[in-house]
Parts: sequence; C-alpha cells; structure tokens
Amino acid sequence: MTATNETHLFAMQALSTTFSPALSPATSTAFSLAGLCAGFDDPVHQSQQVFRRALTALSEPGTVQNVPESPAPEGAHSASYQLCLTLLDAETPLWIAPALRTDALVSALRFHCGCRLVDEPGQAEFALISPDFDGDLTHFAQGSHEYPDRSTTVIVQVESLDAASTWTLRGPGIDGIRKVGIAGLDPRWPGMLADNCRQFPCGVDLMFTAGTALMGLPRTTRVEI
Amino acid sequence: MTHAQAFSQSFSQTKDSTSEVADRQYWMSVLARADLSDLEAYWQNLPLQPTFRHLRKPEIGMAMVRGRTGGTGSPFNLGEITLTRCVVELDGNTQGFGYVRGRSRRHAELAALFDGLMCENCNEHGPALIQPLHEQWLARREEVSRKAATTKVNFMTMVRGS
Amino acid sequence: MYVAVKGGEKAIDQAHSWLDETRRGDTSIPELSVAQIRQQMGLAVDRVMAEGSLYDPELAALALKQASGDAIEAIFLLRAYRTTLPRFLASLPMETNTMAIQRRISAAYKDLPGGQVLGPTYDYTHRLLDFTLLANGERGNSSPSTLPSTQPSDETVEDCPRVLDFLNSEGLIESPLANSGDLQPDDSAPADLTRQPLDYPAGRDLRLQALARGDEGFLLALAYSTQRGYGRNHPFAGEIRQGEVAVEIAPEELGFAVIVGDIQVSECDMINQFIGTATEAPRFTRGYGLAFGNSERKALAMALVDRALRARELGEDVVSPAQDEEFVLAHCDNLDSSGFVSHLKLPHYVDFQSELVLLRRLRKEFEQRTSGRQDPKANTTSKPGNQDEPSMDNEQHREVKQA
Repeated sequence: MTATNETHLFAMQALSTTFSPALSPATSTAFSLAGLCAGFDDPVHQSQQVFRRALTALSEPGTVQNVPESPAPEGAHSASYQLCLTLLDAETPLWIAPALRTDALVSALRFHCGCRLVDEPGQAEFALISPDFDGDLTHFAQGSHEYPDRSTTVIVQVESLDAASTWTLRGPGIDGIRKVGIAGLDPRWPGMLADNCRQFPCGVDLMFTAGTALMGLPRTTRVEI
Repeated sequence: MTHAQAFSQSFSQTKDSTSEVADRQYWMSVLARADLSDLEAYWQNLPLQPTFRHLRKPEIGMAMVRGRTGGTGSPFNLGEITLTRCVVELDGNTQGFGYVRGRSRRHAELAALFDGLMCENCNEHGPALIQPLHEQWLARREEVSRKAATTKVNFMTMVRGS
Repeated sequence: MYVAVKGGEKAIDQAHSWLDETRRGDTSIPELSVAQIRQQMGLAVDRVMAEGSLYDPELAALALKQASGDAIEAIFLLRAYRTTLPRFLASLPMETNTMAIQRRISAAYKDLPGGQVLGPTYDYTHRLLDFTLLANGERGNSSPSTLPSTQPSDETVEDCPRVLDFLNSEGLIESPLANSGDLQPDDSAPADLTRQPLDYPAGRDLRLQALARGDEGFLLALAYSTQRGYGRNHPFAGEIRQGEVAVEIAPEELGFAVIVGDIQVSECDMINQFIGTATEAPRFTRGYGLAFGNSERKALAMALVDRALRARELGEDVVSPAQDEEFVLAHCDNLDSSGFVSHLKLPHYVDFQSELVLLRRLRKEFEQRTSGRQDPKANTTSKPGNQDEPSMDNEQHREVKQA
C-alpha cells in the first residue's frame, strides 16, 4: 500500500500547476544530442542502396563499391558510418576499437541505430576498427559449426582501397583471381586473414572502408601476397 | 473514493527517477496516451507554432513486449506492439522525444514537439495541455473501473444437507 | 523433390478477382468497415493479435476483413506484416500487478481482497440465440440513447492483490522465482524464438513465448487432455484477470523509461498439486498464462500446458503429449502447422510420378512372388529393404539361390 500511496501523492503533485524548473535536455537524456551528426534523411531508400553495395561487395570480394557522399561523425569514414546506419539496430551489439570511440560517433550510432556498445569484441555482432587495432581477428566471435552466422562482421577503416595491387584474391565470387591494393594494413594482416580463412565455416567477414569506398573480404576469400 | 487502482504506477515502474525525470516521465506518458485530435487541436491553437527540425523523422516499428513468469517472476517475450517514434529539435536547441503505441506518425511527432515545449516551458503547457489530457485519461479509466465495480459479486456458499 | 511449374497466371488472377468478389458478398448488403470489425468482433480481433503476436487492433481487424474472417489466414497476414517492421527495442517487463482491472475472479478463494469482479463475461449467459439481434439489431432499436449501457457504480474497483501471493506468504506454493533460486527475478534478456531457432530442452521463458503465440485450439485440446488424465496435475484457477497494463520502454537514446501506452491482456495463475519429493515438502505449484486482448480461454489453456511442460523440472514422469516439450512446442504454432499441411496443395507431380513407378514395380514383384508360391524359398529373399533395387536384381538373387 505504501508504494501506491506514494504514487498517488505524486499524481496529485503532478496534477498541480507547478512543475520542476525547465530541464536541461543534456542532463535528462542519456547523452548530448548537441551537434549530433545526421543519419539518413530517407532511411528506407538510403539503407537499401547501401545494403545493395554491401551485398555486392561481399559477393564479389575485392571489388571496390562506392556509397554516396554524406557527412560522417569525427573519426568515422563515410562508408563505415553508412554501413553502420544500414546494418545496426537495437539487436546488434557493436564493438568500437578504443582509438575510434569518439563521442560524436558513439552518440550518433546510439541515437540513430539504438545499438548497444559492448566492451568485449567477442560479444559484438559488428565491430569497427582501424588496421592497427590491439589484438587479432580471433578475438571476435567466430560462430560455431551449427551457427557459423553467429560471428562478428568487422568493418576496418583503411587509408585507401585503390593503392598499387599487392594482394591476389581467390575464392567464391572471383573468376580466377582478383588483384587488390589496400593501403594502411600492417604486416600482421596477411597471416590473420589466412588463419581466418582456414577456420571456415567459422571465422569473421570483413568490410574495408576508405572514405566512401568499401570492399568486402568474406571468410571464404583466400589472400596471396 | 480510491484512485489507487487507476493511478498505481501510472507514469513509470522505475523507482529511482530524479524528480525532473519523474516529471518528464509523467508528461510523456500523458502525451502517449492522449487522443491525436486533442493534441492536434492544441497545436493548431498555439499563438506561435515553434519552428523545428526532425532529428529523427516519425518512424513506425515495433517493441517486443515482455511479461513476467507468474506475473512477478523472470521475464519472457509475450509478443510485439506497433510503436511509432520521433525526435525533434526546437529553435532553442531543445530536443523533444515522442514514443507512442500504434502507427500514427503525427501522434509521435506531436508528442515529441510537446515534450520539447514542456522542457522549455512547462508552467505554460503543463496546466493548459498536460493536466487536462491526464484528467481525461483518468476519467476514461475510472469510468471503466466503475463499470467493473458493478459486476462485483459475493458468492455465497450454500449449506449442504440437513 | 520440387520442380518449378509455369503458367496459370491468368487463372490465378481470375481466382483472386473472384475471391475479392466472394469476400465482399452481396453488394446490396452494406460493406463491413474495419472499424466495425474492431469494435464489434473484438474477440476475433484479440485472437488474431494474440496468435499473430502483434498487438495492433486496427491491423488485426483489417486482416480479418481481408481474410473473410478466417482467423488463421488473418494471423498469417499479421505475421507477414510484422516482418516488414524494424523492432526498435524490447519493453521493460510488464507489471501485471498494476493492471487496471476489468475482470478478476478466483476459483480457489470465495472471499478475497478486491472481491470477485465478473467483467464483461459470457460465463453466465444462457447460450440461447438472441433473435432480437437478428430481427431488429440491438435491443432498444439502435437509437444510440437507448442502447444497452452499464450504469457505472459510485465506487471504482478496489485494489486486487495477487491471489497467489497469499499462498506464497504462507509458503504453501512455490515462489514465482522457484527456478532461479534467486531472491530477485532474473531480468536479463529472455530467449526469443523469433530470433533464434527453437532448441530443446527449452527454458520456461521460451516455452511461454511459444505458448503465448500458439494456436488456441491446439492448446485447449492439450489442456483438456491433462484434465482427462494425460498428465494430470489437479488444477485450480487461482486467479484470472483481464484489463489494461501499461507498456514501458527505456530507449537507449533517452536514458530513462517512458510509458508508450496501454494494452489489454488476459492473465491466468493456475494452482496445481505437487506431492513433493524425498527432499521437498508437498506444496502447490504454478502454471501461468498471459495473452493479448480478452483471450481468457487461451490464458487458461496456456497456464495448464505451461504447468504440464514443467514435468521434467519437477521430477514428474513425462508420459503424456502435453508434457512432451518437443511435441507441444514444435506443433503449437498454427502458421507452421497450416503451412506444412497446406503445402500438400502445391504441385508434387514429379514426386507422385516416382511413387507411381515404385508402386508398379512392387506390384509386379508381388505378382511374380505370388505366382511362384509353390517354392517356399522364394519368399525368404523378399525383404522390405529391397524396394529400391532394380527388380532384375531380385530375380537374379532368386536364381542364384535356386541354383
């Protein structure tokens, strides 16, 4: 009864003409929305367009796909940001490498996607990293033999996707071989990608982004230097 | 007259809200439960309609509703409701949030606008908008409760045998 | 094996057009509006919402109209629609103790705080067809001022504390937290069968979700089977409630919880016998039912089946269908069931041809065997496993044996 009486009193109080002084929104909402980076203006169509590019990128590994120009929060490439707006929602936990975890990016993703940020890479369905991230690809969820889909999709922000070709790709979605030049990857990467490929059907799928360009490297693609 | 039934936890089940948050929970719940026509009428009659931009355009989606095992135990997923949400930013950089059950974009937008206006000037819109809407909702609910009370029975156990 | 077939486009268009015509019926009769269905076919709307697993009375009414009143077809439409919407988030668990009561009865206690509130029930109607509805419409000849209306009482319904809490305070019934062994409910995210495939054994959260969206007829039959002795557990309807409950969400971007509206629900707390074990004292156990809308029968059946499915956890023998988790959960969804049954209507021309070929061959073999009956050894070579082998092989086997 005490609880209901308290609520009852509160109801009366709320019904009276005075309210608490006007709130500062910054103190009442979870995080500051001041200067929030805009999301999609037309979420349905823009996310469909980006999804189509992402699908092509993963089904034709090594090809460079371009998303339309649009603003992105500090620290995020436009393509990474648009991929996040397209793929993330309240049910897709996200891990952001500490170096990329700016307030602007975190606020924008929490607001527009409603996604939960997790502290452990292994809990994430999606991850946003730069090539020099601390750790290796096995720290992410790898999926299981029953459910290989339960692995992390890793978005890697690199310097450029059209550098002089250094890698040769083979595998599903590639007619013979495809040459790619990804700039800004440290020497750990070929080994990590080879290990990732060996885990099939488990392992992570990767999306490399640079500006508005993106390239897919699913777990089925073999990389030769 | 006991209002306890109709009032109990009308605004939130959370217990640790600060009074600012509790007030906001109160008016946001009132706006969500209000009739669209009443909100629209108040908006149309505003002497000066504020300019605003959408931080999030009105958007229709769903929320998974959870119940509790045995009413008070651990949660389970019961099923979904349709839900429309909207976030606006008024001139003065105040943000307003609207979350409304159902599929009315305009309802969510007006709920967000009035949330923003209440944050800016609750002493004007509180008595003029929120309080009457809340009273209307309470009256409707009380009417139902009074009808239910007419169907209250006392079953009498008959004495058996001689 | 499935083989694509082509053609029939025109015939299908015509079938749909005739369907629309049939659905509309005699055009000299006024068309039924969605609002009318929502208002005047409320229990059908509630069933579609409960089993469609989406609370939206207007959409459920629309689905019923479009489906000519076929509940399962309407549920299909609603389920299909829900897949087109993003799920923003999950609500906080509803606190049904705060329900604005419209109906509340207990079959276990006669006198209880808050009393027995019948609400708008069919329970005490005489089940006699009301020919005034047929002849003149509503009693009072449809003038709005004379329509039947309930004169409200001076008092509102009193507080209705949960009946099972009385028993709980005496320690005569298991705690609602019995399984976790915790003092507080475990509020971590429950399993969700719309996101992960159903896996056995299923936790109670997953079972309750499956039952809440399960077919009322199927659950009703299973519930009845437990009462007739197939998994008997001696039920009493401890409390049945109907009314509105607030739905509250805590959006990530807002940072606190807000109510988004109220929904009508039906709830049933079943009290069941439990004789105890070597280590546990006899006490009552619980079965729980909760459904969207005024769906009391569904909530009752759900509570009985929920209790039956707890057999394993309570150390009871699993001997009846209602206690068999896989049997119940795999078959309670009417879209799954009707989908697989209805797929038999699709072309199976190639499958059937292969069955025909097989049957002809088996018959031929049978004839050859029966005509050669004089030799008893001939029968011994005929095994069921041989049916996939070419019949010549059988002949050869036989010849070899005879040689």
